[in-house]
Amino acid sequence: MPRFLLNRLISMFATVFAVSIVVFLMVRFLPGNVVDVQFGGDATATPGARLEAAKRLGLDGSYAHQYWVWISRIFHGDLGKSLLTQRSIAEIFGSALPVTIELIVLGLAIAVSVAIPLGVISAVRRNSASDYASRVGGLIGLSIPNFWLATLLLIFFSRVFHWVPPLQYVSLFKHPWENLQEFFMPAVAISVFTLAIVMRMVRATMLEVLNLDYVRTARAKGVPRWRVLRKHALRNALIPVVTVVGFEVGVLIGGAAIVEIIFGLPGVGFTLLNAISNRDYPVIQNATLLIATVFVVANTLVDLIYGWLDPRISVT
Amino acid sequence: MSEKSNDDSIFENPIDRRELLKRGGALGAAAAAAGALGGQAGAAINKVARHSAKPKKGGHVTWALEQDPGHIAPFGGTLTMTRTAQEPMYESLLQWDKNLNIQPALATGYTVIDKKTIDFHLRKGVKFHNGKELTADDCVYSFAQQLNPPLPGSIATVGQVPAIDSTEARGKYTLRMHLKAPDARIYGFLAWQRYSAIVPRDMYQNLNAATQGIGTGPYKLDGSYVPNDHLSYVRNTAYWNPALPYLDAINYRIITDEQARIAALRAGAIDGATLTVDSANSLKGQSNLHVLKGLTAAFRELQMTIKAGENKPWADRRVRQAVNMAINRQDIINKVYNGEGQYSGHVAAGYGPWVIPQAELKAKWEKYDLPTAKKLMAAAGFSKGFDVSLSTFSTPLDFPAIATLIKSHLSKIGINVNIVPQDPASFGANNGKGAFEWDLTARGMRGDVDGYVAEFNPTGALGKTVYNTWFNGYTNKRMWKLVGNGRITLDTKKRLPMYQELDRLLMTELIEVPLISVNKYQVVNAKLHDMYVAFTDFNTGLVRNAWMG
Repeated sequence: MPRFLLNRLISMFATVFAVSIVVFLMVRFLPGNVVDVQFGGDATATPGARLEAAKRLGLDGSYAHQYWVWISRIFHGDLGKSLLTQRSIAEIFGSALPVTIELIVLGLAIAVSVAIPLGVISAVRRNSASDYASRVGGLIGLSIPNFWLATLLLIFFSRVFHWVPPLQYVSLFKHPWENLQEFFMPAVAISVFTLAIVMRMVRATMLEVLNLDYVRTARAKGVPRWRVLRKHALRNALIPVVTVVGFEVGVLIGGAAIVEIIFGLPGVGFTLLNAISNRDYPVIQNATLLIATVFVVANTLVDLIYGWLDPRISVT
Repeated sequence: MSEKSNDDSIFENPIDRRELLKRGGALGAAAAAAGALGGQAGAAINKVARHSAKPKKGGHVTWALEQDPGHIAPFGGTLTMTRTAQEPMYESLLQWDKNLNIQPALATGYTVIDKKTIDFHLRKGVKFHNGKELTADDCVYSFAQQLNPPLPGSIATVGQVPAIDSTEARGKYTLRMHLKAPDARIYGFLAWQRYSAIVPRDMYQNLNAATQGIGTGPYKLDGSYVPNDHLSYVRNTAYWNPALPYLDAINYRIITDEQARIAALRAGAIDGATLTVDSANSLKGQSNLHVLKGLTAAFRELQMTIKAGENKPWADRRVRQAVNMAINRQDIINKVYNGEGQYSGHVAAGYGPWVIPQAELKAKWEKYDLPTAKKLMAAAGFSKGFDVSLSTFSTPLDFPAIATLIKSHLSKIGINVNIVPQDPASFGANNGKGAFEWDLTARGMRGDVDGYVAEFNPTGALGKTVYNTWFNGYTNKRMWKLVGNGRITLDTKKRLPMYQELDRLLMTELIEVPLISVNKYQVVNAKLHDMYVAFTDFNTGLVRNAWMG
C-alpha cells in the first residue's frame, strides 16, 4: 500500500507540473494580452505606453522568467495578484472556491443519492415499467446540456412560481436556508448528466454482479434478498461506479463554470471565464492548476478507494 | 478676469450653460467652450419611465449589472461597467445634466485666467463619505492620480485625459489648473466624470480602491464590492445637494446571463436590467414592468487600414465611396435591431450640434445607391471586385450579424468579404497594431467631440498612434488642420463650423465608414419613476433621476 500510494503521489505531482507548463504557454500563445484588452479599440497607445503598462503588470520579462516567478512564488505561498483587479489570487480563490466546492458537492450528492437507488431498482426489476422509465430518464439526462436545463429551470420557476433563487451569495454557515435555496437549482442542473451516467453504470454492473455465482450461492444459503443486494452485490458493483464518479468530478467542474454564470454564483468557473476573456494570466494559470490538481487528487482518491474496495488492486 | 464664486445650490434655481459661464466669470472665447454638447441644441433626449413632477424619497432598487466591473477604483478603469458601478459614489468638478448640458458639481464655477490657466472655485461645505471636507488639496491629489492611474487602474485611460499639465491649491477652495496647451476638451472631460473623480487625499494609502471607495457622490458604498457578485450603496445623507438622492439604497447584482436577468425581472427579484432588443420586447405587456429605450453614443463603424506601400483597392477613395454606398444601413437596422436605430456619422448620432443631421445623412452621405457604387468600382478599375478580410467581435451577436449583412451587401459590387470573428482581446491586439484590413467595431461616449475625430490627425496622443499605424498611406492636410484647430479653438461659435466641415470631409474621404447608432434597452419595475436610458451608456438615470413610487 505505501508503494502504491507513493506511485500515485509521484504521478500526481508530475501531472500537475506538466499542466502548469502547458497552461502557462497556452495562455501566452493566445492572441492578445491584458494590455491589449486595456488599450483595445479607441484607447490605442504608443508602444512606449504599452511597454510601461506591461512593466507595471510584470509582463515584461522572458517567458522563462515569468514562469519561474510564478512557480517559485507558489512554493512560497504567494499565488500572485490579478492583473485586472490587483486582488490577491489567494483572496479570489478564498471567496470563489467555497462556492464551487459546495456546488460540486451538492451536485455530486444529488447525482449519487438518486442514481444508485434508481440503478439498483432498474437492475433488480429488469424490463419492468420502472426499469424502462429509469432507462429513458437516463437517456434524457445524458442528452440535456446542463446550461440548457439551468436556463429552463430559471424560466420555469420565474414564469410559473414568480420565484428565482436569491441573487446574492450567502455562506452556508451563516445563512444555511438561503444558501440552500440559492444552490439547489444550480446543483440539480449540473447533477443530471452525472446522475444519468452513474445510474446506467449501477444498473449495468448490478446486472452483471447479480448473475455471478457468489450471489447465487448467498441466495441459496438463505441470506435475505436485501442483504444479498446491499452487502454482496452492491458493494462489488460499486467498484467501477466509484471510478466513474471520480471522473465525473471533472465533468462537474466543467459544468459548474457555465452554471455559475447563469445563476450568478461567484465561483471559480465564473472567475476563470472572466479571466480568460480579459487575459488575466495569473488567475487563469492558478485556477486551471487548481482545477487540474482537484481532478488529479480526485482520481488518486478514487484509486485509493478502489484499492480499499478491492484489495487485489493495491497488491498488483 | 473677474471672479464670481457662488456657493448657492444651483439645483434650487437651475441655470443654463450661459449662466454657468457667467457665474464662473469665464469671459470670452475660452469659457464658451464649456458647452461641449451645445446647450439648447442638446444631445439625444431619451424616453423616461412614468414621468412625474413630484419625486418621492425612499425605497430600494436592486439592479442587475450585465458585466462584472472588475474593480471600482476611481482612476484608470477601462470598462464602461467600471464607471457604471462606481457612478453613485464618485463625482467630479462639473457634471452633465440629463440633456448633456454642462452644470456645476463640486466646482460652483471657474475663472479662465488665460488660455492655459483655469481656476476652479470649489463648493464649500462638501463632505466626503468619511466626513472630511472637500478642499483643493484633495483635488490636486485626484488630478495627479488621473494623470498616472495607480493599479488596478490602467494607464490606457491617460489618452482620454486632456492636456492637463498640473494643478495647484490656491487656498482651501480654489484649484488652479495649468494646461500644456489651450484645450477645448477640458470641460467635457470633467463633466463626463468617467476619468475625473475627486477623492480624498491619500485615499489609495488608506483603503483598497479596487473594492472600496470614498467619494462625495449621492450614495456611499455599503461594505465592499464583491467581485462577480454584488455591490451595494446607501443614501449619502450629507450630500451637498439636499434634493438628492431619491432612493435609500441601490443594490447592484452582477447577473451576466441575459435569461437569468429576464427571469429575475419576471419574478420581481430585481427592479431593472439592460437587455437586448428582442429580450426587452418579449417583456412588453408585463404589467409590472416598463420597457425603456434610448439612443447611446455607441455607434457601429467599419474601419480600414491604408498603409504606405500596400496599395490596397480601398486606398482609392472611389472604392471607399462605393463601399459606403453599397451598405444598406436601413437593412441592418431592420434585420439586426428590429427596425430601431439611426444612421450615424463619424460623431455619434445624438451628440448635440456636432453631428450631421439624420435627414442629410440619409439623403446624401449614407444613401444606399447600388448603381453609383458599381460605377465607382468600375471607374477605380475594380469592376470585378476584390477579396478583403473583416475582423469583428464574436460577441455580442449583433457584430457578426452586421458583418454578415455587410458581406451580403458588398457581394453585389463584387467585394468578397471574409469575416473573422475574434474575442475582445484578440480584436484589441490586432486593432492596436493595425494588423487588420477592415474591422467592424463600436465607438463609445466621449467627453468632447474631438474624441471621435482625434485619430484623423497624425499629431496628438491618439493620432500619433492610430493615424501612423492605420493611415500612414493617406494624406489630407485639410483634415489634419480641421482636427488640430478644432481641439485648440475654445470659442464654440468658431469651433462648430470647423467640425461641420470636418464631418462632411470625413464622409467624402471615408477612411472610416460610420454605420449606425443603436438603442439601449432597459426594463424596469413599473414603480420606478423618471428613469431614463442615459446617452452616456452609464446608469445616470437611476443614480440621479429615478425614484420609487
